[in-house]
Parts: sequence; structure tokens; C-alpha cells
Amino acid sequence: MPVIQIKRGLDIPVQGSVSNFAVADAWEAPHAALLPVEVVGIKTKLLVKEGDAVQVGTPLFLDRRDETVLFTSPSSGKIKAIHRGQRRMVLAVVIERDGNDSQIEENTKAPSKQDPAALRDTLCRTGLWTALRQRPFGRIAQSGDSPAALFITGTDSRPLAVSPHTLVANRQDEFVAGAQALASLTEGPTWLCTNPNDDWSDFIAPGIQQQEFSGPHPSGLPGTHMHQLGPAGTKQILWQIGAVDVADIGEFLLSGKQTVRRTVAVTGPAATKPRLLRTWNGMGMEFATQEEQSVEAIRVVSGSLLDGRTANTGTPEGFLGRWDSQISIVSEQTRREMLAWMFPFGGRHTLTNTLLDKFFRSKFKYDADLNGSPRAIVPIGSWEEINALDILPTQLIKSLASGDIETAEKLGALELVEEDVALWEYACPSKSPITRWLRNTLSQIEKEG
Amino acid sequence: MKPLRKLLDRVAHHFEEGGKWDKAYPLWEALDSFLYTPGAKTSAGPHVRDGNDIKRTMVTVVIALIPCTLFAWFNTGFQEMKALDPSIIGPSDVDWLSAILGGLRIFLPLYIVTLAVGGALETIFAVIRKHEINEGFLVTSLLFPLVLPPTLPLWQAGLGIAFGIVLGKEVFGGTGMNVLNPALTGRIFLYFAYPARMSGDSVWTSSPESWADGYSGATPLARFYSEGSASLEDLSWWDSFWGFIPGSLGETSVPACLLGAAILIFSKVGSWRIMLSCLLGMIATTLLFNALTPDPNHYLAIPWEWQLVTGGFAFGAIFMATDPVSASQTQLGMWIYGALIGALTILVRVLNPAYPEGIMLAIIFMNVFAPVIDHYVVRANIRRREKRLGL
Repeated sequence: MPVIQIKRGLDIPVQGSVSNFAVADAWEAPHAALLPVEVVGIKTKLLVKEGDAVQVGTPLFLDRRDETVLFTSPSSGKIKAIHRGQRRMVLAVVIERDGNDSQIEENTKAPSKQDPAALRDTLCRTGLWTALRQRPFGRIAQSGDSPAALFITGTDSRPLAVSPHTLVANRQDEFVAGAQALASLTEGPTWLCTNPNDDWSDFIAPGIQQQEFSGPHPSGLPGTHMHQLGPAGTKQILWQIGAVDVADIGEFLLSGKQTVRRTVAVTGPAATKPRLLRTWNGMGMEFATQEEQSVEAIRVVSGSLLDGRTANTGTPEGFLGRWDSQISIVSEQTRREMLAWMFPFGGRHTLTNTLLDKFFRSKFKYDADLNGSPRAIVPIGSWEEINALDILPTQLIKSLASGDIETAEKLGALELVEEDVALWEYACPSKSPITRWLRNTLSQIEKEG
Repeated sequence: MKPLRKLLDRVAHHFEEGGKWDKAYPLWEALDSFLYTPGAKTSAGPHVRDGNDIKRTMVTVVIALIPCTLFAWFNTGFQEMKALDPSIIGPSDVDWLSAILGGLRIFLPLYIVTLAVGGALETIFAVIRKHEINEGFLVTSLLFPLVLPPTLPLWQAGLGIAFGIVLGKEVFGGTGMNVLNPALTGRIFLYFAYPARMSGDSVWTSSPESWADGYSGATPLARFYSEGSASLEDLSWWDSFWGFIPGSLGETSVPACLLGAAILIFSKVGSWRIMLSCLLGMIATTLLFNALTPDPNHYLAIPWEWQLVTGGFAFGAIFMATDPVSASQTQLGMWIYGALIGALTILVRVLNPAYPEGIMLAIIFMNVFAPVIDHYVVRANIRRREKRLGL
């Protein structure tokens, strides 16, 4: 099929991209964790308690809404702490690593002969199933569902992200095995969505359809791919999975061993040395911030600057996320500048031309400044300018803001999750919390649905 | 400037919740964020943000209005001097500085009254509703005096802006939720409440002797109405284009408006779609009327380049119709909305016997209809989505 061109969008011109693609070994942090807080709407049932010995693959907790899917330990060692937040919500199950990465032995058959029911069972039991997420709602795929299509995301347009093609380099066999096995889970098509800059010809398995997407962000988001090839709806459930997770599943199916390692990109304007690191799943953020000699207060984000989760080193949530292959580091140091509104230059980038800095430089050192204060919605067209979907952003955002779930659903809210609207929130001159509004609305629809 | 920041930080807690003066928080917030960028941090979600905010957006609109404001000062003084002294024919015959000072004598009182009355109302509503004072008021308060005739009594200006802000904006829930453009609502209220002060031949030129009485001096639009296209013979298109004609303070000069349009379009704050479709709608309707004219001297025969430079068409299409809150908010809707404003303006000007100017009524009318236009655009989008989902 021809390349799908995404015309409207924005590649945020932020400093701190990885330029040297040599992968270095990461410093080994003493702790790893799995974070229930990452799972949308989870009702956590803990399966371990502090002090228990665990191995890679030991079930740590499950979601009461779908008890077949187990969330298993990324590391071997001893449960050190179970952190809780507001209303005793479980934030993180922290493991004190023993460094052996010893595994629970699992037997697997070759994926081509695998019958889908057994495959589902294996994936659910080993915790590999949690790599699959569904639309609508962005929760983990339900073990009993059969999706209308499966989307393997082989491209990433989020700010400073490294292409998944780089991250799965030399894992062709594992990727093909994983993709073929996953394709058996759906009656519909299995798409491999890629960018024309990467050559995926070695990764294509029979039954997998490749579709290329080019253009600015959000051309590399699964939400955009699903919108073009799907779309998702209440009666049309779509699944997504990252290319790295596909290779991990394939590796497990081929060798019977789960990989515990993962390559991540350390990026961001406050990263002293943007680089690729080979680390461990669920690793404490120390591995990435060890070498940051920043004098400023920094924020460590697991994921991209647009849709990542704050994961500051040493906090209960300071661990690499389940689905993340990127860490972004940004300065927390904000300044109060005098009468800044008077000056046409402010050292900041804007999509509009109300600041002229962008005509004089191409990259900006962003910080965590909101760059304004929250105001009522004044739709000057910034959202439309960067909106890549056939969705009316102003009208959808207003329905989200006013809690009109019926209209929001009609306008396409079910196709979206936070990462798809993060760029709208980035560009919003009124600094409206659009991602939060969307999640509230989705939870409401799910509850009443 | 550290001491000022320190002083502000020292008293800040009094205005926060539970503080001594927490009721005055909106005022405090307005002052504090006027003096310094707020320095607030992102909490979650996108960790970095675009450099533009509502304050900068509104300041950009104010900057776009500066050419019109400067020209208003000159032209108001110039028209007054021209009425006093028959030897003055063109702008080169007067001392520019004294013309500007004469104009300021008219503009400043109107602007100060607007700021005082409007600002007080904004603050009261912000305090009662417990929301921030919105910078959109900066634009409303400058737009309003620019669309008033120079002879308007100050108490009427105060009443007009009060009506515009309360009934044009606050009753709908404040900035962002208003259906009508507040400045235009204020003007339209005055137009219907005090027609003798807002229309006719004697309100467009101020007189230094008396606030209440202006000199008689018909605007080109009024002459089109009474004399038809025969009036074109002794009117100068270039005078109308540059704006050396009587009219509301800021509306007369097309180049000043175009400069403003250039700033709005370049900065992406104003919608070029609305401005362009207004122009196209106006031209199409005028050409249609030209073709239908019964005799060459009829009002129907006035060509579009005259419709463009007279009255408030350029000012309205550029600054009033593009108000992002009261205009159509879908991109397709904007084309329809703008084109209908252009068409209605000409319709009111040419065919309606009661009102010489049409742009104000056209914009208010289309403000009311913008949600309807959007409704149909939204419905088409919903339908498309349902089809793809097979519903």
C-alpha cells in the first residue's frame, strides 16, 4: 500500500536527541519494580507480600477486572516494599534485585503449531500478555476478547524517541516468531506500522501487512494508525503492541526464556549525554541518572516529554515503565521573568508566531514551565493546525471539559487515549488539562457503558 | 528588579486561599502575572508546553490594533479641523501633531471610561465567580472606543461597555462561553437605544466647543444611500481608502486595518479563513447587485471596491468577525460564517432602508448563527465516523 502521509502535526523542536546509536551497558541499579499505577483503571489484587522471594515470572499482582492476566516480576530477588498512594492505591511493587535473574521454567512449542487458546493461556500466565493494550479506553487487552485488528507499532514519532527499528535490530527471528504467534489471536488483519526511513523487509512474516506512515508527530502513534486503518469503537476493539514487545514474546516462544533486558534511549534537554543504554525491565531510574551531573533540579520522565510518566529517581514511581523504551530528562527550574509578555522574544518555541525565536534557531532547551496560566478556552485554531485525525478538536475538547460524555463519544473520544491528545494539550494557549479531561470522560463512559 | 519580586512573594500568601484578602485573588493574579511570568510548572501529561498563552495572544491582538488606534487619533482631529476651517481640504493642509492631539482629546476620555467601567465589571465578576481576570478584556476595551462615533457622550460609552460585558459575555458564563462579541454587543445596544447619537449626519465629526453637538458631515455610506452611485462623482476613493473620511474612530482607514490583518494572520492569532471569506462574500454579493441594478445611478450599482473602503467593513471583517470565541469554530464553518457576513453586510447596506451600515448587524447576526453552522459541520463529521464504524 502507498505510504500514508500525515500532513498536520508537529515535531517539537526540543534539544537532547540521541546522536550516537552505540548501545552501552547500563549501571545496575539495586532495585526494580512493577507499577500497578501504570495500568489504566486497575483494581489491584496483590499476590505477594513484603519479604517474599520472587523470580523472573513470579506473579506479583493481578487486575480484579480480568483475573487471568498475571503481572509478573521483571526481576529476581526479594520484595522490598509495596508503595501505596492516595486511597491505598498500589503504586509500585519494589523488588530488591539479587542479580541472578533466575526464571520460572516454562515450556513452549513452536509458534506455528501453537493453538491460539494455548498461546493465550501461556501469555497470560507469563505476564507477557500485558504488552497488549486495547482501544477504546487504553487498558490492557482483555484475555477473552478477539480484536478486529492488531497493530504492531514499528515507528515512534514522539519527541526525541528512537525508532523501534533500532531497538529491535538483530532480533529478526524473534520478531517474526512473535508477530506470527500474535497474528493468530485475531480474526482480522495484523498490521505492522512503520516509517519509510526504516527497512523492515527482514521482519515481515506471512499474514502480516505492512503500512508505512510518514510526516510529523503524531504519524508514529498507534492511535493515528488505528484512526487511518481501524477505527476503534465500542463494538470494534483494536489491540496494539510495540515492536520490542513482539520480539520479547517471540524470544520467549523460541527459547522458553523471558528476556529481562531492554534497550532504552536516555534523552531530553537536561540529559547531559543523550545515549542508548541496555538496561533491565522495570529498573530503578538510577541507571539513567547516575551520570547526570546536572546542577539544576531535574524531572525524570519514563516515556516521552509529551506523554511520559514522572519517575524521579528515588521516588516510589522512579522506575522504568512496562511499555517504555525512552527516558526523558527535563529541567524543573522555572523562572519568573519580568513583563515577558511585552517582548517578541522569550527563548521559547511556539506553534503560533507570537514569539519570533523560532525564526532564529531550530532547537530549544525546553523546561517544565507551563508558559502561562490556566484560562478559559479561547479556540484560536492551534489545535486544528496540528491535528492529524478526522476529529474536530475544539468541539471534542469542549465536550470533554463540560463532561458531555455522549457528545464526546460521538466526536471520537473512544478512538483516543492520553498520548493522542498530548500534542493538543502541548499547544493549548489556555493551558487546559486536556489529557486529564479525556481520561475522566473515558472512565465515565467505561463505568456507564 | 529583585526587590519587587521579593515584595510580591512576601505578600502573596495573603491572597491565597485562607489568606486575609483571598477574595481579591483574581486582582492579585492579574497584577502578579502582568509583572512576571507565572512560572507555573506542568504537573503531568505533556511535561513541556508551547510558549504561547492567552496573555500573549491577546497582547498580539492589541498590537494589531495599534495602527488603527494611531490613525483614529489623527483622523478624529483632522475631521474636526476640516469642519472648522473650509480651507482645509486634505491631510497635508493640517499640522499632524495638533490633529493627533485633537484626536486624543476625544479618544482618551472614551478609552478611560471604557477601561474603568469595563475593568470594574470584569473584576467584580471574576471575584464573584472565583476565576481569573481574562486578558481578553484588553482587546474588548480597545475595540470598543474604536467603533464609537467621536461625539458620543461619555456616560453612553460607559453604559454601552457595561451592557456589552454583562449581557454580551458574563451572563453566558464569561470569556470563552460568550455567544456574542462583547464590544459589538455594546455598540449595538447604543445603536438601538440612542440612534440619534449613533447614526445620522451630525455625529461623525466632533466639535471643540461642545461635547454634545458635532458638525454635520455625511459619511460616504450615508451619501450612497441618499444619492446612489451619483455620489461617487465628488468622492475620492483614495480618501476613503486611506481613511480621511468621517466615521467611527478607528474604522475609516483600510491600510491601518490591513496592517492589523497582516499581524493577526502572520502571528496565527486571527483566522485568515474568516477574513478572506468575508471579503469574497462581500465581492460576490456586490457583483450580483451590480448586475441587477435598475439604473446606473442606483445604490445597487456601487462597485465592490467602494463597499470595501467605506464604513466599517474592513475593521469589522478583520477585528470583529474573527473573535475566536463568538465566530464559527470549525474550519469549514469559518468559510460559511465569513461569506455570509460579507453577503449580509451588503444586503443590509443596500436593500435595507433603515440602516446605512451593515457590518455590525451582519456580524452579530452571524455570531448567533455560528453555533448552527458548527452544528451541521459537526454532524457531518459524526456521520462520517459512524459510517466507518459501520453503525
